[in-house]
Amino acid sequence: MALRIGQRDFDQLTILDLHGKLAGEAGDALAQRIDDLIAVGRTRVILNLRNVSFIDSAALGELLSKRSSLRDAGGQLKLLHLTDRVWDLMVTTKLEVVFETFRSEAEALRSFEQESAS
Amino acid sequence: MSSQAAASVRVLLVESDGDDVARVSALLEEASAPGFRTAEVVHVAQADAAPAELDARQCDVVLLGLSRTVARSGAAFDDIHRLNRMAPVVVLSGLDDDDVAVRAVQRGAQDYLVKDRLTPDLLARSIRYARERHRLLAEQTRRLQHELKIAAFVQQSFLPSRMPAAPGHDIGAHLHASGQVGGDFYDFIELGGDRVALALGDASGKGIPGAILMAETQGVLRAEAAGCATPLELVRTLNRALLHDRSQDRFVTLFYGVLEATTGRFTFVNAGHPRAVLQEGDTESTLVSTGPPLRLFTDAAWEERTVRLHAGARLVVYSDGVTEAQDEDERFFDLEGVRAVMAEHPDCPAAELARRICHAAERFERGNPDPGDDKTVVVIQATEPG
Repeated sequence: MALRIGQRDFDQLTILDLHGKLAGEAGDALAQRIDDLIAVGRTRVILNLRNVSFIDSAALGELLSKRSSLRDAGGQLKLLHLTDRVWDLMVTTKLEVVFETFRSEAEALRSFEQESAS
Repeated sequence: MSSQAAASVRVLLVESDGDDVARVSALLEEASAPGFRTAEVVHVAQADAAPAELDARQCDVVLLGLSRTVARSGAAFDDIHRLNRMAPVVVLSGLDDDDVAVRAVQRGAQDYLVKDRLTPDLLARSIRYARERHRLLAEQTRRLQHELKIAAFVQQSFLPSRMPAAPGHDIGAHLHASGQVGGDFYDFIELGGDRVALALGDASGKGIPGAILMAETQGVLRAEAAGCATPLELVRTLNRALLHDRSQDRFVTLFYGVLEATTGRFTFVNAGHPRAVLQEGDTESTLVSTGPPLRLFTDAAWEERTVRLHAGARLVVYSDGVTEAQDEDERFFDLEGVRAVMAEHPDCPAAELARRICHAAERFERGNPDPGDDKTVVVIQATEPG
């Protein structure tokens, strides 16, 4: 159930490109990666979920937890390119209003810029 | 077993280099430290042959020889992992590299010795310690397994031992646990009169943390259900109780409904749980989520909805382990899978249908090497006009 995590660093923010299933131990691996980012001061994070086929409840708990950690560190967690199944999970759990989600990368990047500007 | 007998060690040496075989055998011969004696050295050239020899010759320890090239390639880590399940493994490596040594130990090696620096004493000591550590670890694992078995037994005892009495309705449930302990549960509570409460929940997190949250949820639910006038009140009360401790971002999805058996009125709250399926004749409706899971927000706007179960209606509530079961090609069982079992068994009793849906999902994912999730199904069938 390996989850591959690609990382793209921009000036102020980081995009993590995830591939695979965000389930079981993969949730821990992602949490660890976000903790590592916080440790080096990279607290604005976008998770690209285009290639994530599914998220289980344990991993969803980790996402909520890391959303809080990033906020506490002055940053944010945003979600990009949710597949239908993942979107369905967000709607079922009503978390689509908790996580900021985007359909385009440019839009997600812009949202961070606008926050910096304001 | 006397200490003398315990000290007599049968060694399996896995080594492809003839010179090293001779050298290590000589060192073992020489290694006659107090409490240590080599009874026999069994030799195989390749790790692939090791498991069979370990079995056949009852060896006490594996000395796994690695050439510099093999150690550097990392190809041997899987061998270490595999052999460690059978016997303690001491790596004898041609490569003096701390990172490789640490990785070997992480994969289960008891020690990592560099071939150039072997002495009879070092080898004897390493083998003695390796055996002792391996024995302790096996004992701890056995104890943990035993405790998990007890926990699973306790968890099973939380499930209702009989189905509730609901005139004109056939109610059944089935739970297939994926591991020894899990986060799924179901419950039925007779609320008095003709009212019966049905609950199906899934606590996030696998293993012990999920099991504890599930037990807490079910405990509060049983204590509070009868005192709450409506499903909405119960869900709010339960949420408050679970929010008492917010140490971790764990949550519970819950489908909770109350059936009035004489009228067939079924009032429910779906707190972040997968949609339930209601079939009546050729029509189907789904009872979708009416609010977030429990234990996430202090104030959440859950909604309560009411449907009517007419004679012949079948309501199927399930946990996500059913629909998210995946086959070897990573296809999902999905709601389609649930519908297929329902269509195949139009006249099946509720308990039987619940069991069949769980088993179909479990069979579906059998080819997938990843461990599946708990699967729970609750079925209510209206047998007489309400």
